[in-house]
Formats: sequence, structure tokens, C-alpha cells
Amino acid sequence: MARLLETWISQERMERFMYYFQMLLNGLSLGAIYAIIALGFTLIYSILKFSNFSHGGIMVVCAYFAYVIQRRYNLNFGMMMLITAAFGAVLACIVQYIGFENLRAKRSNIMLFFVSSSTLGILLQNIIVITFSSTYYAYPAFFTPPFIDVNGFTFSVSDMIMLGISAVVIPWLMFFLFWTRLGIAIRALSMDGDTVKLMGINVSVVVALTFMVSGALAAVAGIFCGVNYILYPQLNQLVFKGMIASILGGLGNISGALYGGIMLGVLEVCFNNAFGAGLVPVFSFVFSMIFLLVRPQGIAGKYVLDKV
Amino acid sequence: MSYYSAVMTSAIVNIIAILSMYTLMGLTGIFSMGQAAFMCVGAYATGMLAIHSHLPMAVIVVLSILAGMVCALLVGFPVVKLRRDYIAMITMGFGEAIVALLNNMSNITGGANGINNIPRKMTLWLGVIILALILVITMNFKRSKYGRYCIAVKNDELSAAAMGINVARVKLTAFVFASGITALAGSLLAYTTTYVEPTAFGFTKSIDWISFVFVGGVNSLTGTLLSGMIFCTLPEILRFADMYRIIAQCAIVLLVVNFLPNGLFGEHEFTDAIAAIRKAAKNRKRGNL
Repeated sequence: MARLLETWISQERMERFMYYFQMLLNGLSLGAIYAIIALGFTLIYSILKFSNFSHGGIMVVCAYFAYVIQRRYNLNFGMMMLITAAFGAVLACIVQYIGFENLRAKRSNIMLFFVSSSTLGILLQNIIVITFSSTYYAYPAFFTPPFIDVNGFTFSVSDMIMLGISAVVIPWLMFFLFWTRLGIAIRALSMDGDTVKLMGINVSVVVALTFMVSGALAAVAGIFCGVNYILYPQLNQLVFKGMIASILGGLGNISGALYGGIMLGVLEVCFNNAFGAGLVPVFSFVFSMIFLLVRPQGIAGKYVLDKV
Repeated sequence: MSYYSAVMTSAIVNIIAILSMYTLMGLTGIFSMGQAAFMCVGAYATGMLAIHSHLPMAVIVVLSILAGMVCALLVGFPVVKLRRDYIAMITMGFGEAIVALLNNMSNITGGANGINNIPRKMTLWLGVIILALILVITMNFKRSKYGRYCIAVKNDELSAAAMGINVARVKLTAFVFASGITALAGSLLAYTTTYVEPTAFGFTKSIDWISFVFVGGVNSLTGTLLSGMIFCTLPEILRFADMYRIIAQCAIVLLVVNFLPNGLFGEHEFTDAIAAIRKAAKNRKRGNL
């Protein structure tokens, strides 16, 4: 295909196009990771109306757990991911019980939720630091060869699998939320907690289930961050990228998480290529500030007015 | 300086920053996760001015406070009209951006090495005087019209707007005021430790401050002050248990948030105790009519 186009377009133009297209592919794969993080985060936000800063803590604990069981039992990639997703679901349930159950029952101020979730995030990160020390670990190579070369474009196998998993998870999540009874209960809870109790739905069970789904997503995101980059305790700071992605996409909107994640990924790769890796946070920050000035409801969000 | 006065001076610098978090979180309810970045701005402004110019210390401190306030104005302006989650995110992003910027500007600010050899002009007495001053200023801010606006905004934004309070302007005022105090703390930090580097002002520090304010009592200035004193001197006393200290601190915060949501001091202030004593004395004199 490249050869065919070569006869139409000059060589230099072709190389330029391939460069930018490769950049777009890299941005898409980074964006897929951010989208999965943002998805787990947005799920909790849309149900319980608070930002769950402990999502990153669950990510990092699951990533290290995956490393440990992979080393110990020599599993392949799929089994490791399934077991870690189950572990992530249980861990998220425990985190919800420790951190948020009491606060929800007392209908506390939202700031207490913020403090509780950020403290839990730091607690989980420091448990990992104490157990494993601050050295970096690397997963064994799951995919050999790690790159596929197609006509001059380089696809990383783990990125492709990541995109594939995102492509599967998101329709499944939509199906779960819109077509199953539990999903309808979750959506009802996001609208009005008291009426849901009057309808006979056990709110604690529904909240625990939401956290389980979010925890499984966090586990998947954590494993991919560890596989793509390296395993280090500060992995939980990637949750802030996921938060910015979900804000850009429209807070509380599931499809918004996807759009925001991909947009943030592509933008970060563009800034990386243009200005160097060190200054990427600066330009991301300036971009998100300008975006919030221009369109505060995000890409897919709606303006909702507060009612008394 | 002797060991104890050095520890106390460092603790006082951190307590000044925690008092600024009280104004931000306790009075106005703005959850700012990047407040350490304003401390970084103040510290770097002080460092650069101290090394490259020969202005007296007071002028440099005032200029760093102004630098912090200008940064807060730029950062706060888009976000005060939005909801509270956005402020947390944007200040967090600002913190990361400042650290990345300072790490990369090697020719001006020394990059990751930071600025060294700042003259040490900070003594224990100067710290105590400035702490007392900030305490008086914050107490008067809380009791003034602005303080009441902030408390109204914190409790219910919609009702405050219905009463005619300009919510965005109140939030911006409180943000700029608190960031000025944080920049002052940063400037004093530069004079105490005589070096500044970008990585010391990460978001972990901001979250630590938030936890201290909440454990002490988010509505009480006395509680914030006392919990700041305890938590800032505790790492030195417990230096043997270095890694577990953070776990103990997180456990304390979780226990307090779950079982004592108003913090250890609740809504009580030190001045309430004085007023109660006075009233009891007056009643006794009058024969308790």
C-alpha cells in the first residue's frame, strides 16, 4: 500500500504522513490507558457524586499483586488479568467499606469523602512502598515479539491488546448499565438514593457492586500501566491523569470518559513530540485550563443547573 | 542553632502553611490538592531574589507573597465558578506543572539541583512572631464580614448565592489570601533550610496538610493549630519508625473522619473557652440571677 501511494505522493510527504500517523497511533494507545482509568473513576463519580482518589491506590496494589502471582505461579497473560481483576473487585469492596460506608450512612459533607479517599490512596501506596521498597520492578515479557511492523508503522502488541480490551469493556459496560437489572439499579441510585431505598433495593449491595466493577477496571488499568511502562509505587498518580481525562470528557458521563481519555492521550503525545517530555505537564495543565474556560461541561457533558 | 530550635523552626514554617489551609478548607471549603505548589513559588521567588539581588529580607518576603498571590489569581480565576472537584484537579495539575517547569528551567533556576546557599536569616523568635501575626490575621479574617461570607459559601453555595453573596468572588478572595500565606511559608522555608528544590513540594505534602487540618477540626482554628503542632513535631520524635509513620498518620485520619467527623476539636475555639470562663466569673459575682 505504501508503494502504491508512493507513486502519487512524494517521498518526503509520505514520511511526514507516516510520522504523524505513528504519533496518532501512540496517542491512541496512551489514550486507551487513560480512558480505562477515567472509566473506573467516572463510574464512581456518576453513582456516588464524589471523586474517588483512592482509585490509583487500587491500581497500584493490583499491579503489584499481578506481578507477585505471575512470578509465583507462572501464569500467562489472560489468567493473570482475570485473577487480578477479581482481586481488584474484592479490594475495592474493602476500600469502600473502610472508607465510605460510614460517611454515606451519615450523609456527611462531601469534603469528608475527599479526605477519606485521598488518605486511602496514600495509605495503599505506602503499604506497597513498605512491602516492596521503592525499587522498580519489571514484568516479564509477555508478548514476543513486542512490536509488529506493518508497512513501516510500528504497532506495539500490548497497546493493541489494550485497545482491544477497551473496545470490549466499554460496550459490555454499556450493556450492563442499560440492559441488566443491577445496571438499572445502579443508574437509579445515581438519580436519587432515598427513592431507591423506598423501592426496596438494597443500596449497600448496589454501591458495593459499583465499586467492584470500578475495582476490576482499576486492576486492568494497573496491569497495563505496569506492562507498558514499569512497575513503581507512584503508579497511583496516573489516576489524576484519568481524572483530567474524565473532566475533559464531561464528568459523570461514561462515553465522556472515553472521549476525554483519547483526547488527552493524543494531546500528550503531540506535546511530547513538540516540546520534549519534561514540559508535557505544563502544556497539559495550560490546555485543560483553557478548555475549562471555553467548555466547562466537557466534550460530552451537559450543563445541569442546581435546583433547590 | 541547637537541635530543638531547629526542629521548632521547621515545624513553625509548616504550621504557617497549615493555617493557610485552614482558611482555604475550613472556612471556604475549597479542596485544593496542589497548595504545596504555591509554597514552591514563594520559596523559589525568595531563592532567586536572595541570590541575584541585594534587597533586604523583608522586601524579598513581601515580593514572594505577591508572586504567590499572582499565581493564585491566574490559577483560580477559571475554576472558582465550577464545582469543587474541578478546583482539586486544577490545583493538582498546577502543582505538577510547576514542578515540571522548575525541573526543566536549568539555566535560570538550577533545574533539578535547586538553588543553594541562600543565607540563613530565619531564627526561632522571628518564626514565633510571624506565626502569632498570621494567627491574629486569620482569627480576624474568620470573624470579619469576609469570614462569614466564606463560611456561608462553604455550608451551602446555593443559599449563599440566594442571599446575594458573590460566590465566585468570595472563593477567589479566599484562594488568593490563603495562597499568599502559603507563599510566605515557602519563603520562610527557603530561609530556614537554605536550599530549595522542586521535588520537595509534591502533592503528598498537600494531602498531608489536608489531613492535619481535618484531624484537628476543620471548623476550628485552635484545632488546626494544635494538630499542626503535634503532627509537625511528631516525625522528629518518632524518627525511628520512619516508614510506618505515614501508615499511622493515615490510620488516624481515617479513624477521625469516620467516627469524629468534626475533628478532634469540633467547633470549639480557644477564645470560646476564655469567654465561657469570663461568663462563669460574672455569673458567680452576680449570684447567678
